[in-house]
Amino acid sequence: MRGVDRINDALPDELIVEIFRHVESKSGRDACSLACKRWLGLERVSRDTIRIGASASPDNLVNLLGRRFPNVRYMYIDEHHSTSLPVPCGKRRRSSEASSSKSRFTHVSDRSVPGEDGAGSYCLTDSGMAAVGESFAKLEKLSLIWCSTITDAGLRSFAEKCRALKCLDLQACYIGDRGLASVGECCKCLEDLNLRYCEALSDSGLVQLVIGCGRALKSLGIAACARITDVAFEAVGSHCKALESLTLDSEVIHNKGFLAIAKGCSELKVLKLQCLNITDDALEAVGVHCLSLESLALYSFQKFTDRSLHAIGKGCRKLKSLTLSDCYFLSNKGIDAIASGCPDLTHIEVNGCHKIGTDGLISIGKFCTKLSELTLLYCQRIDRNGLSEVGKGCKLLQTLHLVDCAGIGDDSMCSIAKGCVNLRKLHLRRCYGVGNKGIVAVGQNCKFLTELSLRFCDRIGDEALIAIGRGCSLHHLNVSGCLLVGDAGILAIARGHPNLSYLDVSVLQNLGDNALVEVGECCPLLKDIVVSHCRRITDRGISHLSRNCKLLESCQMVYCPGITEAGVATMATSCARMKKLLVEKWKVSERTKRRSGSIINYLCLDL
Amino acid sequence: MATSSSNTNKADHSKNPPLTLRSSDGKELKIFRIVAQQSSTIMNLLDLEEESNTDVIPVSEVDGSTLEKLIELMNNHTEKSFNYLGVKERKKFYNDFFANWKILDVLNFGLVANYLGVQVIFDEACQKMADMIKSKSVEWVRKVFEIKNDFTPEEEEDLKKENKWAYERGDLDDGDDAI
Repeated sequence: MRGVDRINDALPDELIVEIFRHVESKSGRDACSLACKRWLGLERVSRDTIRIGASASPDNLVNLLGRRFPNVRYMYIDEHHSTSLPVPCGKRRRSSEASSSKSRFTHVSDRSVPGEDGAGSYCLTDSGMAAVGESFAKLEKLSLIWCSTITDAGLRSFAEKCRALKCLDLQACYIGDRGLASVGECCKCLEDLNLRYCEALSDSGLVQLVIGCGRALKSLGIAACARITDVAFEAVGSHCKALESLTLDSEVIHNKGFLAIAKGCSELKVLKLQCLNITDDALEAVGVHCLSLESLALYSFQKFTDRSLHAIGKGCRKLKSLTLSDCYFLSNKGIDAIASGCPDLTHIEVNGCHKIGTDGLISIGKFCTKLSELTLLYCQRIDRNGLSEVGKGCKLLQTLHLVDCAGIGDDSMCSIAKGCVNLRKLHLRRCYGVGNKGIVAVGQNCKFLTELSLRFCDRIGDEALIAIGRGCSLHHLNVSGCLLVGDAGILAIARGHPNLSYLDVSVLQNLGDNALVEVGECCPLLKDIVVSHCRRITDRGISHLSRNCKLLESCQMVYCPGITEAGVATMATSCARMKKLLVEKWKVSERTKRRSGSIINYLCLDL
Repeated sequence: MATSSSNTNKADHSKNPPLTLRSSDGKELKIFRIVAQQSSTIMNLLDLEEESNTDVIPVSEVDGSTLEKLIELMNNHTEKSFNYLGVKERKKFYNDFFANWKILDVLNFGLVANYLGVQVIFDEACQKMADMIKSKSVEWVRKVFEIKNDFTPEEEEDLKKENKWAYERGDLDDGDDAI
């Protein structure tokens, strides 16, 4: 376009709104809204996502937000996270989502009882929920996490107003059956329902919901809801004929309930199960009725045997993705059945399944010609040669992820390197059988490799990295714990990979400053670096790095005795884009704290 | 590095001669019909001119250099290998394309893509601008877009206070360390 004097004046509203639409973070949106009154107006009208944490008066907050942002479609209320506002009862809730339900109960009993008008309440009340419904009539998705003072009445008043709701996510809430039933009555467009730790819900609520709006439901997730039993699942099987995705984590469901789902929901595409009391009969039913299945994931010590996999391999011919995690009874025969039956498989993950070994991998290599991503975690039964067939047969393999597969050796790696010419990402961790020979082969053959991770593979040394340096063009390299690697290897990497953006050389005892200097000289696009536990790195290496790598955003350098206060200061201040710097507290001078305090993370020793 | 395979569509194009676009500064650029289909504006202009391929289509709102870059990107979109790119790889592709561009150049490019009705490229330009704005301050945004701040200091302070109503989810670490 021809030049314009005032760019802002020449921009049409639609373009500005379109840019805002792509600015997903709240801080980004807030910055845009403050630019001028026009931008403020446009931003408010176009903001579609709101996230609220626990705050001082959530009901008032909802009213305020409703006035400001009329077109919100996605609302996330998570009272698990405290905001920067003080929480007077003195309890800072931990933001770890792994908190057990036990700790949740102690917090609840400490909470102040909400007042009528919301004053003194730190949790969204039923009137707040009603306000959400009043203010955000266009809401499509609502997520309530740890909202312990919302009851059935609150959800009902919300549902009556937001009839266009498509997606509801309830975690650790006390909403009961009547609340869920009202959603079934009012929200006929509901496509997506997720219930986790909703201990007040029993069969009745879910049954009424699926009777009311099950016809449109496409995705259902239920986890740790101890009172939802086979009765409810039978109702799901009857009423949710359009169901495509099911995620179940339940000890209470048995074959009876699951069979009803398998028979009733024949459109099922995605199935994720962690259910101790379901057996082969259930998966056999899936193999007979759910012929559109594309993704299957089985977790944690379930009772399934190879019979299940035979049935899946026979019936679910469209299967693309398979995840087997801690499935004790599944063996190579089962893998063979699925591999030979499902030619479209592109993603396979096997995690801790101790009966699956080399023979299973041979079947995969033989049959899964479209395989794109293979992940093997804790597979100790795969031997030196175990991946050779995969190398021969899986020409489209792009990502290979191996953790704790100590048996896999150089022969496997060479076969992979020569056969899987499209390999983009190779991640190895604690694969002690792989040495220089295998990685040299990768360097010589895998021209498209962009990510390489060799964590704690302590037989790999400089020779391998020199070959990698010559052969491919990496963006991402992690050699943490490869104790044989020294300056020569990293020098070769620096010289060969000008596009390097992520480098982790932590725990390398032989690595010195010269390597870092070279990285600084050759890798201007470096964004993230980890040099923790590198005894021989000093301020000299750090300062070269920070002077030359202007795009650095994160740096971790703890347990480096050679780096002093001065080095830390240089790194903190030289890189304008630095967002995260991890160091020991005592290495940060007052001056550095003043200038760059916001980006510094301290090593926390009291964990 | 990423594949830059030869344009396997070339054989098909010999049947349909390329169109010619003329920019505002008189530059003439060729574009194959199958590539030009991405632009609803060009298609509309073609309809108006009936079947004649010999005339040059004037694109008077767009300068030559920008038009050239746009055509290059549109050519990339029609290559077979492009359709096989996964989500991350597409993102990377556009990042590479826009690498080192100044935001005003991206804006200009986006406006041109909008004018020519190439929705995908318009989206990507907006995404790029959003990415560039993401970590910046209000002052930066005002400077780059030449925006006059029409808030009083008090109004601005009030707005900033109001904006503090939600928690900021910190950057989540890549969960690789769990394994």
